[in-house]
This record gives sequence, structure tokens and C-alpha cells, in this order.
Amino acid sequence: MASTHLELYRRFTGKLRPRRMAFWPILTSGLRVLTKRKFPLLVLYAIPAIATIVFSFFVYGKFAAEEQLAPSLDGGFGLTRMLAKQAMNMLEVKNQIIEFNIQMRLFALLAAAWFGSGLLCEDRRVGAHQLWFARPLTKLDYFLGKFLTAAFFGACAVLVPGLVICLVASFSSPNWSFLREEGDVVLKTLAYGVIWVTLVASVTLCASSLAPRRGFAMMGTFGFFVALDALAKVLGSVRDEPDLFALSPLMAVRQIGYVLFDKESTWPGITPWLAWTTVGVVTVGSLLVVAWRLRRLEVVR
Amino acid sequence: MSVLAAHELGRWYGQVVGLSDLSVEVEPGLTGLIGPNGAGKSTLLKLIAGEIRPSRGSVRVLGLDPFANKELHRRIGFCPQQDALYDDMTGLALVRLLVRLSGFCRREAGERARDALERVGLGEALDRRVGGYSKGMRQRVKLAQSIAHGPELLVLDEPLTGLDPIARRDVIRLLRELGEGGMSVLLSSHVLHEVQSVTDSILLLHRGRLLAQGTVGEVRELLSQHPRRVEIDARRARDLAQALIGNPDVLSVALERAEDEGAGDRLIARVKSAAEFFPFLTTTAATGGFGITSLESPDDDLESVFDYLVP
Repeated sequence: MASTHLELYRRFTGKLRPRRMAFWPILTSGLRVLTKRKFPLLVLYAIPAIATIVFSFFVYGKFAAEEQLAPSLDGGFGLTRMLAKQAMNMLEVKNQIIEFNIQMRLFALLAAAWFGSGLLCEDRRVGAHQLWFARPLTKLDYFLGKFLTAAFFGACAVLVPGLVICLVASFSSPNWSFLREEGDVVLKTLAYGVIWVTLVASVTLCASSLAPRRGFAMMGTFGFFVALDALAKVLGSVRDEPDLFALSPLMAVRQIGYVLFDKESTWPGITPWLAWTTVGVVTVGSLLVVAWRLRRLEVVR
Repeated sequence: MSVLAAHELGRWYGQVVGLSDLSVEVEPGLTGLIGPNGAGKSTLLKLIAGEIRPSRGSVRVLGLDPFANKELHRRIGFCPQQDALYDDMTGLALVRLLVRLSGFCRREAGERARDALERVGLGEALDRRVGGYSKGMRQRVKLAQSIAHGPELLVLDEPLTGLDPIARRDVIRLLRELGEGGMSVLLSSHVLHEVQSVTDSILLLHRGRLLAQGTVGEVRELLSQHPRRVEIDARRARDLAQALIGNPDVLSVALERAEDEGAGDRLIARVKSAAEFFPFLTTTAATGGFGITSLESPDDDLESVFDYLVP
């Protein structure tokens, strides 16, 4: 006998609330799916995690040792020496944080490329974009969902460790001296991380939008950074022209890091505006390619 | 209001014509979109689902322009032909995610996703990874996501592909029930009996053009240049043939001897117009007492119509 299931399939007649931040479900589901891959997580984040722990202990140790120094009341050299020691410690901690942040950029690149390479090309390969765009979802929401997914994995390798160390420094420094004297380091760590993560996520998504498969996209992302780095080093060394090193986004961001943290860069000494230009051009160029490819998604048969 | 109104609709991909100069109106209900591979079925369905833009002409779905139309996307469900699923997600998580994008809160999206998956027969497997599903199960997940948000119009591109016979029967029953429940369904297939098992109302496409529209019988009736074959089993088939041969609608008659001695012969008539012929046959049979035991018109099905229309 025929039966109906109208109790389950009643037509929806209510008013659906317009979904702000429609990218959010894409982001959360993307993170949930990608974090199920435990082995890559372990491999890619083991070194940043160990480095973060080691540096945290180092920072903590510096400030803890500082607290042991009793102020000498007999005046003169004792107090001066203690203040000098504190200043030295602060400078050392700050320098360590800066170097740590700058070195972590490579791990951010690895993580974002590994987890982000399949975000667009796999959707296109299996046709999943047809399911997305049959929903009330704009291409901007779709892009944001994917971009933030890639950026999250990059941020976990550069931004989170940097901020953790700043946090340790803040808590372990006597009388919050780190925050009071070097509080801008926290903001600069944040800014540096955001710049690098934005660049890496943009290039990763760009490669993903162009490549037919995840593996090719990953190779494209690494190839882009490695090839430009090699080219920049060869040209810069042969022509003995430091600004040619700005062709490499890796070196340009390193330079930007030094500029942000007001630290002298000894090598290769790229002019800051050239470094900014490289980062800006690569980021904007990648995003334009992604936008163009997303627009072309509609003609995929 | 018609669910679909297309006017001189065309869509091409570079040099390849996907759809050409299609003008059609489709009323609410179940409608089958049939045609061989490359006929333009998927292109038309993607235009209806707002996934692609027309190259020329216009299309209105439920009275709205479908391309990137958020309001319309809440009211339609689309099941694409391609696999389109994420292997790493569970069936429930995937459908819930897509329902959430339609504007439902997480809790209600979860309930609707669960209901829809149970409805398509995946109640036992909804917490399993899609990667472990068979092709038929994947097809049903796609179907579930298209109905879970309770759309007014369901657009299904080859929804029965890859299903085993039992699942196919269940899905066909589901589609009929959805139709009875007031949902309009537009489904495509190149397998004629699949479409005919769901609906009698068809759109026939070939090489990007609309060849025919209407019920199978109506379309068949329009093909007057193709005589209809009528097979009649009768105890006095020879006398019946004699009675029919005088009718101007009957082009020819032939007799086939039955293998069983006791049974009557089979009379095969080729007629110009079924509309004219069947009333005449009824009258003749009632007055003549020819002992008609069965009557069928084998080329009255979709396949014959298709064979006539698609060279």
C-alpha cells in the first residue's frame, strides 16, 4: 500500500533568517574534516610545538632568573648592574621572540600548503561547488570559508606560537614589565603573523584554484616560493644588488618582519618599500586569480 | 504560476552549444527531462538551479531569475549529476552543513538532515563516512540534501544513476510521494523507462533543442506521420480484420497465428490516428462480438516516441 511521509517532508513555509557570515559553516566543517588527519597534524606541528615550548621555557627562565636578583641597597653599582641586567634580559627576550616569529614562517607555509591545497581544486574535481552554489551562498562567502580554513592552519604555525611566547613573557616578567615596556611586540607579532598567513593562504588558494588536483596545487605552492627564492638569491648574488632579493616573498616577509619589529636586518638589506610591494603584489595577484577562477566555476560542465 | 518559464534560452561553452533557443513553460508537478547524452539536460538544469548564467534569452524559476538568487536558492533543491560529495565527512554532517547554509539553525538543520537521510534509506549509515558509501548510497545522500530543507522545486540531474533495482524503486516511490505532497520535481534521465516510471509529463531535448513537450500520449499523437501499431488478441481475429480494413484510419492489418490452438490469433494494425481509431474499435468490438482478449499499443511508450523524434 502506498504511503506518504508528508509529516517529514512538509514544505517549509516559514521565513528563514538571512544568514550572515554564511562562510562560518564552511570554515568549521572544513576545519573539522581536515583536523581528522592526525598524522599530518603531528608531523607539521610537532616542530613548532616543541620550539614554542623550548622558547617559552627560555623566556620564563630569563625572567625567573631576573627575579632572583635582589636589589642591592648599598647603592651605586649593584642597582645599576641589576637594571642593566634587566634591560639586557628584556632585549634578549624581544630579540628571541622576533627571530622565533621570523623562522616560524616556513612552518606556516608548510601547514597552509598541506591543508589548503585541496580546498578549491577538490571541490571542482568532484563537483562539490554545485552543492554549495545551489544554496543561498555568495561566492565571497565561499571564498572566505576556504580562505580562513587555509589561514587557520598557517596561523597555528606562526601566529599562535608567537602569541603563546608573548603570553609567557607577559606572565613571567616581573610586574608585567614585558607588557609595559615591550607591549608593542605583541601587536607586531600579530601583525607579522597576519601578513604572512594572508600571503601564504592567498598563494595556496591561487594554486588550488588553478590546479586540477591537490598534489599539483601543493607542488605549485611550494614551487612558487622555492623558485622565486632561488631566482632572487641567484640574481641578487650575481648582480650584487640587495633589492633583487625582494623578488622572493620569503625574504621580503623576513625583511618586513625586521622592519615591523624595528630591528636592523644585516642581510640582504632589501629596501622596505620593495619588500612591501612584493608582498602586496603577490597577495593581490593571487586573490585576483582566485576571484577569476571562482567566477569561472560556473562554466564547469 | 509555472515553475519554469524559459524564453529563447541559450547557453554555449566556447564553440560548443549546450542549449539553443529553448522556449518552454513547465507547470507544477512531476516533469521528466529526457534526451540522449549531450542533449543539454544538465545545462538546462544548471540554468534552472542558478549555477550558470544564460548566454542568451531568459529563464524564470518560480517567477524569479535563478542566477545567484539567494531567495530562490532557499526554495529549490538541486541534486547534481556529478558525485559532488566529501569523502571525509559523515552523511549526516554533510547534509546538515548544506541545510545550515539554507538558513536553518544548527539544531533544526540536524533534525532535517537526519529525517531526510532516513527517508532515502540511509538511517543506518548516517554516521558513517561518505567515503565508505557505495555509489547508490552516495546518490541517495545527494538526494537527501536536495530535499532536506523542504524545497518547492526539486531539480534532479540523473538521480537514479548507480542505484540498484530496490533503491531505484524506493527513490521512484519517494519522488512520486513528493509530487503528491505538492512538491514540483524536474528530473532528467537518458533512460526512458526511468522517467516513464515517475511521470508521464516530459520535455524531450536533443542537441540543445527542445524536441517535444507534453505527456507521452500527447506527444505521440502529434507524430501523425508515424503510424501507430496496435496489437489485438481476439478469438475471431480474421473477422475483426475484415471489419477494420474498411476504416480510413487503418493503413494495414496483419494476422499472426497463435501458438496455442485454443487461443485466437493476433491482429496487428497500423493506424493513422489513435484518437480516431480507438472509438471506432470500441464500437466495432461491441457490435461484432469478436472476442477481443487483449489490446495494446506497443509503440505508445516513451521509447518509441524517442526513436521517432531522435534520429
